[in-house]
Amino acid sequence: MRISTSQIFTQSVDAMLERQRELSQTEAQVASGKRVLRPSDDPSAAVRILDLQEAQQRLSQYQRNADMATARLDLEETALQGIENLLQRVRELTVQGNNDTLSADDRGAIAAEVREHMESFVQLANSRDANGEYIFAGFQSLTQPFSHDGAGNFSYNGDSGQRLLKIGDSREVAIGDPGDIFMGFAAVAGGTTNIGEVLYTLATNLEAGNGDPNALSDIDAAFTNLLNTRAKIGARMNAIDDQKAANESFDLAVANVRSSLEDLDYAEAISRFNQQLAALQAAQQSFIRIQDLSLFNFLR
Amino acid sequence: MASIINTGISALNAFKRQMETTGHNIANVNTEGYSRQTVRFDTRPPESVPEGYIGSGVDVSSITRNYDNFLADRVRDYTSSHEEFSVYHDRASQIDNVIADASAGISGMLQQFFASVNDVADDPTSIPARSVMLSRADQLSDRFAALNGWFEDIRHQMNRELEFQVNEVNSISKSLADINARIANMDRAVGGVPNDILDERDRLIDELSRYTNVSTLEQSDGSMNVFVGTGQALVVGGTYNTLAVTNNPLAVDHKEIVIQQAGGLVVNVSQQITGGSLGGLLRFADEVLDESQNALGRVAIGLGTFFNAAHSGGMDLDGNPGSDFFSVAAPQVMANPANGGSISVAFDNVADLTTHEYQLDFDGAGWSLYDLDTGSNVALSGSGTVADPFVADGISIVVNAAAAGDSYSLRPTRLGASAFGVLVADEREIAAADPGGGVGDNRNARRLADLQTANLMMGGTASFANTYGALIADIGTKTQQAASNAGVQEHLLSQAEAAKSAVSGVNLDEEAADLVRFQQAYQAAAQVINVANSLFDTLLNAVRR
Repeated sequence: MRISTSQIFTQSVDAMLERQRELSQTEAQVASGKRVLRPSDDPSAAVRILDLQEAQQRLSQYQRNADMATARLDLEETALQGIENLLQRVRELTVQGNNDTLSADDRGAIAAEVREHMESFVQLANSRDANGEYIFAGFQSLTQPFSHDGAGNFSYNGDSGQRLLKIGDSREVAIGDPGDIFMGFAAVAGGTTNIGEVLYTLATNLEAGNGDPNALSDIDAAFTNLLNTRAKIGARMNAIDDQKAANESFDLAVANVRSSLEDLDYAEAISRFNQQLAALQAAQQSFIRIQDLSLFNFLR
Repeated sequence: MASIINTGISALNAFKRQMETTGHNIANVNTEGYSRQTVRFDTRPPESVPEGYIGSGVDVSSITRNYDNFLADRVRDYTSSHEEFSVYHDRASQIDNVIADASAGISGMLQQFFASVNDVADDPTSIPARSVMLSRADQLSDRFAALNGWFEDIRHQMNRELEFQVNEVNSISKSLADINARIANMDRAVGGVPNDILDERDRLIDELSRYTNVSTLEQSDGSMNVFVGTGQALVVGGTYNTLAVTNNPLAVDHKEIVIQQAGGLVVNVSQQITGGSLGGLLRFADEVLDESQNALGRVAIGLGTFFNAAHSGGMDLDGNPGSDFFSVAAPQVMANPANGGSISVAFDNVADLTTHEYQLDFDGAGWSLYDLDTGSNVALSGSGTVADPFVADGISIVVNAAAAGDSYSLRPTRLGASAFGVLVADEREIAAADPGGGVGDNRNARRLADLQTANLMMGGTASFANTYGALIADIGTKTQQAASNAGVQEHLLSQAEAAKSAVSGVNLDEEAADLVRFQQAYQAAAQVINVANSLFDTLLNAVRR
């Protein structure tokens, strides 16, 4: 077949342009470290990469939520621990106060300490987190939940709402307990009572020179309540740890899949780059050699 | 002896013509559309001598161009299809390059927005967390607007290009008509039509094939009639019809191509124009651009509608019921100016929305909804009244008044991305709580956060991100296919060009060899004259003595 001079030229130039285009594509891949630079490079992988990206974002959100939950539960645990400690002390004081040999002065001193603990209890029950939210107020977290009218009437102004956070695709965890855990447990004398009221009654009896025969049982009932709550907190902390570990391993698995779809195989890319470079050089050299050849060079 | 000289002169003239033509070939080695010319010889009629007949030299019979109509047509066909796919691919790449890009696409912003909703759920009383959520919502709406603006830019560019290319076609048609007139006027008896004019004519048709598919029919007077589409005449002899870009009467931003024929007849050829850059642009607009903008709008409308529904069900930080969070576009409806009636169109169930466009027609007896993308009718449920509207593909249609022949163009999701905005201005108005809950209640915020992964779209099978992912997959696949088709067509085109060039192209080595050959022949012919001359001298000298 005849080949025209301009055809030889166009073919050589086209070949060089094509090699350069391939080379620049590989170069862009190497520079970015990505195999898929735009959806058309691999449409189904591009969509899966986005899905996996979203999964990773969700997992990191779950970890944030889990950290948030842990911080709040730590705070709750500390407050409950404080209340437990003071109840423990009040229990000892109750036993002392019930001792018949005690003088009125001694009882008065014990009563004064019990009143201190009562104030501490109210303070602890009104604990706030770093953002200023009352942690034992249910959903009314900006309203001080516990108040005392000074006459032994303790009221709870929160509600029974419990905030849940999502820490896994199908896992939610409560990050606190409403303040009614301190309220409304059965009193030995019948009816219901609350921690504040138990302490107030104890102090009032001691001040009047008497022991308080019901205080011990009521304090134990309050203890049981607190222990139950702390056990729940412990279970939630465990669940959070488990879920965090699960999220981490899931994240690792997702990252691996994403990397296999998205990231460049450098070894393969570099060898492809060298191959394409060699092809371009060959095209350039053959262009120069062919352009040098002309019968006119010999017609002199 | 006179006959020897005459024979020699005839050869000298013939070889001179050959060398002139070789020179012409060499001169035009780089001229686009030039076909190599060859001098053809006839042996002169012999003279009768007593012994029989004796030759009397050579005549130039013709100077022909090496040209094959079949090969030329093939090159034009492949030029048209290559141009079509590469223009389509260029434009689709403009979308392909940005749609999944982290700094331009929607997916990253969507994730950040939902992360901020989650942070509000973590800490519903935190004003900073709420502020971040509002600014993320603003950023998301900016991103929708920017991407939509990019689509609009591409449409604007494309429409300008259509105008420009149609003008180019018209100017080529005019040149072709002029050349046709010249060719028809040339006296075919004396030398016929110059090869170079035929080359020019064919080059113009080649040029035309870059813009659209053309077919040609050569007339007996040598002029060439040119047709586009399915046989619409573009050039007939010395006259031509012009193409023009017009607006679709039902959708003004949708450009169409018409051909203006003699007698003021205007024929819409948008559907008939195939191939070439015009065909590529029209197909890109239909298959990629409109579809992408609709798909983007669908994500915005879905997100806005479902988010609003959940947000309105909640309670804000001040105990007030939640309001709409995002502004959501209404379906775009364009009425034919000739309509006598009117309709109201709203979303029925956004989960059922498609990315298609529709035409709604009333023939006087019944209504029909035609899906412009699938090319088939969509069944309408209901009766079109306020109490029982027509419902199809997620939209509801109420007929306020109807006149026979009314028609409407419906683009349910086209305006979704441009109209998407944030309505909540005060962070306290974010409804994170359930009604009756308190400020620390995060139940509604969690419900809002859960919308990120809920399969609410595409008939309840896809999340918002998946719905956007469907757009990415669609663009990616179409761009990839266009690139591969363009590659195939380029290969076929270069093969066809090689075949044509094998016949018509100039090869300098060949011309150099010819030059040597013709020069030798010319020298030999000169030698014949020299010999005749010396014979004559010999004779004269003999007589003189």
